Amino acid sequence: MASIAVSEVDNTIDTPGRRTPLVTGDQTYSSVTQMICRISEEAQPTIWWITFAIAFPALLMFGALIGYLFLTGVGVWGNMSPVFWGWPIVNFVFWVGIGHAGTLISAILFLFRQNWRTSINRAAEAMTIFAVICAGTFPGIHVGRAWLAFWLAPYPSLNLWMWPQFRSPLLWDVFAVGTYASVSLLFWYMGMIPDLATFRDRSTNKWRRMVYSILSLGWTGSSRHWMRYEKAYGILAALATPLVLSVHTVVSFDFAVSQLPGWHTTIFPPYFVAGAIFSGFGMVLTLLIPVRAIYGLKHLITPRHLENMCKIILATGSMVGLAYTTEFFMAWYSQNKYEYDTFVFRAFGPYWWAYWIMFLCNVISPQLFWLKVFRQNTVLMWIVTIFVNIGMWFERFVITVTSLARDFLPSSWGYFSPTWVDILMLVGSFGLFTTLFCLFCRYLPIVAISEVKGVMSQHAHAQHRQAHGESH
Amino acid sequence: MASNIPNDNVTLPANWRGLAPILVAAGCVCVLLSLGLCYFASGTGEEAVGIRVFSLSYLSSFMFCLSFCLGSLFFVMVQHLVRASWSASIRRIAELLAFTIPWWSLLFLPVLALVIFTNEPWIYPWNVGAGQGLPAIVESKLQFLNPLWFTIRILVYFGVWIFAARWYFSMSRKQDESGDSEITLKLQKWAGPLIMLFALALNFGAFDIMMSTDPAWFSTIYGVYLFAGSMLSFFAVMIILCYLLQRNGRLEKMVNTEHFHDMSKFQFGFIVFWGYIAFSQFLLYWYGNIPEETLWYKHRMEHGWQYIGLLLIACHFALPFLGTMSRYVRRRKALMASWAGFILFVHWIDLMFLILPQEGIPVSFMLIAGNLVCLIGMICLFAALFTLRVGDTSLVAVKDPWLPEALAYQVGP
Repeated sequence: MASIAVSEVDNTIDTPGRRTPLVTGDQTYSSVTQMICRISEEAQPTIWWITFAIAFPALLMFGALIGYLFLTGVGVWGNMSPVFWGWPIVNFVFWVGIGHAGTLISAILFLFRQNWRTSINRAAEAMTIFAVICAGTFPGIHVGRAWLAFWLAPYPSLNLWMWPQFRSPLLWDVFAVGTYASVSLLFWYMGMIPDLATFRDRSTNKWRRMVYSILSLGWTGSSRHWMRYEKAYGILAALATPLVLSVHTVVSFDFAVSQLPGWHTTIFPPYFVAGAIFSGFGMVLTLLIPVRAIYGLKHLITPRHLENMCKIILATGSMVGLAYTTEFFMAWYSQNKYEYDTFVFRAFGPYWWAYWIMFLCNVISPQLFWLKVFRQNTVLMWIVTIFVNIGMWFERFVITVTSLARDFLPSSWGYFSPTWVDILMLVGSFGLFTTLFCLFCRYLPIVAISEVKGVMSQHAHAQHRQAHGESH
Repeated sequence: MASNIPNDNVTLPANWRGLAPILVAAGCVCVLLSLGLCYFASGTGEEAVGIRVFSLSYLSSFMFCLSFCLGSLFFVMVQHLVRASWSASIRRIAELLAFTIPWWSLLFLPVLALVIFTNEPWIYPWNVGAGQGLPAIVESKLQFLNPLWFTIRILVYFGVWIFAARWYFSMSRKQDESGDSEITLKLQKWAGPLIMLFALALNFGAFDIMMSTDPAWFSTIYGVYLFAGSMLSFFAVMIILCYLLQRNGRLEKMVNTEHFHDMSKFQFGFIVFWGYIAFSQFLLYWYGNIPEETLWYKHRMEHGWQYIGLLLIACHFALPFLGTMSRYVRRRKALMASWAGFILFVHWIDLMFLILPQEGIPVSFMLIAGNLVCLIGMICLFAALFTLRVGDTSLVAVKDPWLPEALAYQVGP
């Protein structure tokens, strides 16, 4: 196979009229296959073991704490009157938000024919699934009697003769997140089938071959398989696109349909969606910057990919900034005393630190991406993405806790303090997330091999066309 | 590369330009006729509402044309921002549409004059000033909603739009001569900051120009709502313009079925986006059921406006959603052009629904007729302005470095 991708170039430099290569370093089809497959075929690097050794005990701790919660009751959390929604809901919204980048990349960027998505979509989709698992855990255990959480499902109960409250956005959330999780999982898995078949064909171990055979559903790579695969992918992308908007829109309804100052505002749906994409890309970069370094994927996840993601973070961070500004302005413009006081309280009351952490991390820190050095230096970039992650957690904290902490009557005011269980559960959810991501790196194709190859040939064709363009 | 560019006719048909004086005359006549028609629009009370109806109709018709010009400005900037190539052959038309903003904004001067030189509440009830019996909630906003600050803000908003539109147009024209790809790099580089300024101006401009016609009411999503309508109407205008130009033997090879298909996809996307934003605003206020928020909807649910509201659900969302979903439809130029015409018509109804239903103004035959005639007048004026602005300018940025890619471009399945 001839070499079809170009050699080392700085693919972040724009040349109008020419597309920069998305795969660098003289790669061939077989070198790309080799680059991805060896990650799962060879022994994991030490850093993987260190990460796993930290994450897995944290996951176990998460399980133990959930057990403790079930045995003792939700009193183990800092939830109190009037802050009935504490960290569990903050964590829920935080993780659902993280889970937005995957489907955005795989569905919306696919519909826009953004070829650069191919190097990052697989890992982002995996991250989405794991984040949604973390997210789903929190409302599940927040219902109090978690063993009755199935009451959320609408089924004709012969004992109760009752249905869930369909007028409640909390129930809409069950459907929204449930649909999102199923479609994302299907999308992720279906996209992986050709690559799982590659894993199967390369495996030397009997057990490995058997497992990948089952997972790859008899894929042979025949043109009929590809035709159906492409068709299904397009349909799933079209179906998943409204889901990118709907999930966080419904999450925002959880807050915005209420009459609570700071929650009840019409910008919430698009603002939550922008914030979710912002946090999702923040987390994708947080994960992929180390992954590409550890597994030597710099020719697949190139500086161009990282730069594009930085720009999306800058754009969505600025949208979030516009939403903050609009909210604050409208709190005054509405001349609703409660609304305005809530915002002043957020920014200058006892939670001022949370508000300004949120503002600095979400609005100011992404502005650093105007500078090329921040879009190119992976260490600086990584630091900014950590700020983004912190900022987006604090955004949910600010929204949830500060609006509740001051009820309408001053006699019902309170100050929320988390307990050790709250803090360790948040840590534990990161344990769950990281463990799953480690296992994903260990066992599954972390870059969509077949899709990357498609982009390589397109680039080669484009070069060919440009070279011969004049004579045609 | 130049030899790849097809030999197309890329100038405006001469007879279009010849129509400009007639269009101006027709436009002025229609606007005056609209004044006459609106004058006889009935109110719910004793008070005559004719002049209010005309003023509000004027504003909504003005905003109709401004909205798709703003949409085109955003389109131009965002194409540079994302380094898009597919749109290189149609981008000049959007640049030209945006380039009409500097002159079109002059038609806002009557509104501004009404605010600066009079205390009439015809468009903006807050204009009567303090101590004139305004509700307390409006009275306390007068430090923001007053002629001086309003004028300053309007100048800033239009300043941002005019600057961006002129700069993008003139730079692109410069490239027509030199073919310098550095110009593209420069336009790409400044797209980001300018979009941020544009977004601020559009968001707060929507609050000032449109939302403050009901000064007690507020909605944080209002700017996004106007943005959705602007983008939707922009794609509709583009589809119609490309279709008409091709019918007149222009751009026959430069704009192909793939471009129509893509514009139709974007139009479809914004039909859904508009529905999403309009529904979000309605649901949250209906569900919250707080009087100062629902009052705005109350005005729109009585005196005949409720039927206009229902019409919007059907015609601004459901019908075009189903009608333009299919690939078959999107690749039929004449069919898509008629859908685009339909979209523009309902966009006008949408703006009317946003601006006209005020206290004491019911739907009446004269109101609809006056508003429609005003719209026709404004469209005539806009068309005249557009043809004059275009002049001899090429309708395609012929030396855009992305043009060869745009012409070779094919949408996937």
